[in-house]
Amino acid sequence: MVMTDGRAVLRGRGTRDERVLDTVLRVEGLTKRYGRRVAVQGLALKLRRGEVLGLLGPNGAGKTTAIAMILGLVRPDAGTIEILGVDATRERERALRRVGAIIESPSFYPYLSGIDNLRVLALARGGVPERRFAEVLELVGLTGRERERVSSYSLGMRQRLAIAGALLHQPELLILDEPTNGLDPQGMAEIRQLILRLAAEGQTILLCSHLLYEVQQVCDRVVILSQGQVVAEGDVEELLAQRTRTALRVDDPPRAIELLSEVEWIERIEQEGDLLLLTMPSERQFELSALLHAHGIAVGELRVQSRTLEEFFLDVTGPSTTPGGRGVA
Amino acid sequence: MRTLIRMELLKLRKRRMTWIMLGMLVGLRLAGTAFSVFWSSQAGVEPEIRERILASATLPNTIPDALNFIAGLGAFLLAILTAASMGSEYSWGTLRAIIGSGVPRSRFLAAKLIALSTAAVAYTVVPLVIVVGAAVPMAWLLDRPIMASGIDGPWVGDVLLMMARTVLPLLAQVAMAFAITVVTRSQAAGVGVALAATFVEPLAALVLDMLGGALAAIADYLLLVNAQALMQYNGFGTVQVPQGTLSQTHAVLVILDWMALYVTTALLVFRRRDIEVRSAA
Ligand SMILES: Nc1ncnc2c1ncn2[C@@H]1O[C@H](COP(=O)(O)OP(=O)(O)OP(=O)(O)O)[C@@H](O)[C@H]1O
Ligand SMILES: [Mg+2]
Repeated sequence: MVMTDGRAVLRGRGTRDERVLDTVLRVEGLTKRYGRRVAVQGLALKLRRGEVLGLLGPNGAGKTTAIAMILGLVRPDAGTIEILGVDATRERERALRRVGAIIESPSFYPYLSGIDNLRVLALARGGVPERRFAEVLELVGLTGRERERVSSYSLGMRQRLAIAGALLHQPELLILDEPTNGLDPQGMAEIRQLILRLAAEGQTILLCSHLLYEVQQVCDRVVILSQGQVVAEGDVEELLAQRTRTALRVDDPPRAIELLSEVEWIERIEQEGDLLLLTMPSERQFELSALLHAHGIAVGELRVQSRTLEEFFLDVTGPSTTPGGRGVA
Repeated sequence: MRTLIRMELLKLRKRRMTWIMLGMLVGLRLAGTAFSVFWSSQAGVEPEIRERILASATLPNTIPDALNFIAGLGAFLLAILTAASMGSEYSWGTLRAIIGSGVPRSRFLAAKLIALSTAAVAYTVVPLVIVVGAAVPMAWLLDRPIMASGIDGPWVGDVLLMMARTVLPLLAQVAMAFAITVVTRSQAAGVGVALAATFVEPLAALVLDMLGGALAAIADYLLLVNAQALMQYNGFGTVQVPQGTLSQTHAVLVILDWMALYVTTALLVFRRRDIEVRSAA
């Protein structure tokens, strides 16, 4: 199992203060229990300025609960949350001043127009100039529809309005909880484009999703949650590289399995038809081939299967996962 | 804090329910007056009753009578408005958006209560002004003096006092519906319990009174009993209240205590509790 520790946190030189501010969000040991059920267990997150971090996990993994704690909606049972160097559990108001967030489904006053809903959010924040409304509406592509009641908006429009609302005060940290939830493919693509655009402009983003495709496209780094616990984390590319599988076709599969299950660097062996799928570092394929050859097993095909984040995800969050274990499936 | 109050006022002002209920308050009072005036002109109505109805339709008596009406129906409507205002924050999920933007919970509650209190004042002042305005053509139609005699001394102060006696119980009603909605997180419960209390309380007061002794004393500390006692003092000049009516000071203090209890409860519960983030199933 990949358990990368949130490697280099502090980027670059500079005085200590500058470097501290370079960490936009730092979460440690965050825990929340609902009765016996643990929603989030010892979550650690570090988010640097300009980074897009994906918080990934299946339904009920604890993503929303984690965000709710960061936003001070839900009280953690344990752990610390620091936003731009401010302790969010002690000074919630000050810590959240530079944060914009959408959590769970977009929520608005249905009887108000789009722009009045923004006005409400702006008054909650305080100090947002009126001209900012036009800017954010433009950014999310809702210009011209802002005078209509939100109750007449499509779900996609609501999602976009929610993002506009989160951007009103030009936050340094943008937290998006399932921003494409319930959208059709077209709507999803629009939101994804919007997130990519924001990211390109240097916006720091924490993106929660159970859609791997989305995260793979948008995020620099991912943290994968399952049942409240981090099961994997790291650079998207690296995670995928570490977990590539090698497909192998041999003349005598049972003997090959017997032989290979003794090999230390092969983490897992699966059989799919007449193919053997080995979870192992891809750079050891020559070694593999030599080994099989030495034991008189003929190799018909040997190729590295690059995996999508999707497969990886299912692998680390799936019910059949035996962390760190290996076996024949 | 000022921007938060503006936010809450914006939400109330743009909500159709706010205006519909204000319209009901004005409309029902005017319609009721018109109907009873019409009815009193029928043959067979005792002159004494007719005189009372006509006096109630014109100045100055229309003022305390209208305030009595507002105290009754207005309390009802404000309970609904309050429960709707707070309850829909939960059901629409807007609460997590607002609180999640960093607004301190207690300040949010305070701003909402202040906005709703403003509504309570508006629900008293606006209908009163319209009713007084309507009393002038009414007097002309009925061929009565615009302002019947019988008032001696300064009456503006009396009117202001009467309004205060009306608004205070309304504020208590707002606080009650608010606290129930915060505790139950449900608009329906807020409306339901607040309305049920309006029916149950007088009943309870009656039963307690019948049981007598120490129990009867408890009735003196019920919210509505004191609200009603306070309203008894509405009138011009020196008002004759029935024997045994609770004193104004007693009534005001008890009502303020109830308000403090409700507001504190709402605050304590709201500050401690997590805000539900799962969408309503
Ligand atoms: N108020 C609550 N009371 C009890 N259990 C809760 C509560 N809120 C969340 N949970 C539980 O905590 C776990 C994590 O839920 P959470 O909503 O954080 O998951 P999620 O990763 O956001 O899932 P989804 O992808 O469905 O949004 C779930 O098992 C959920 O049932
Ligand atoms: Mg969620």
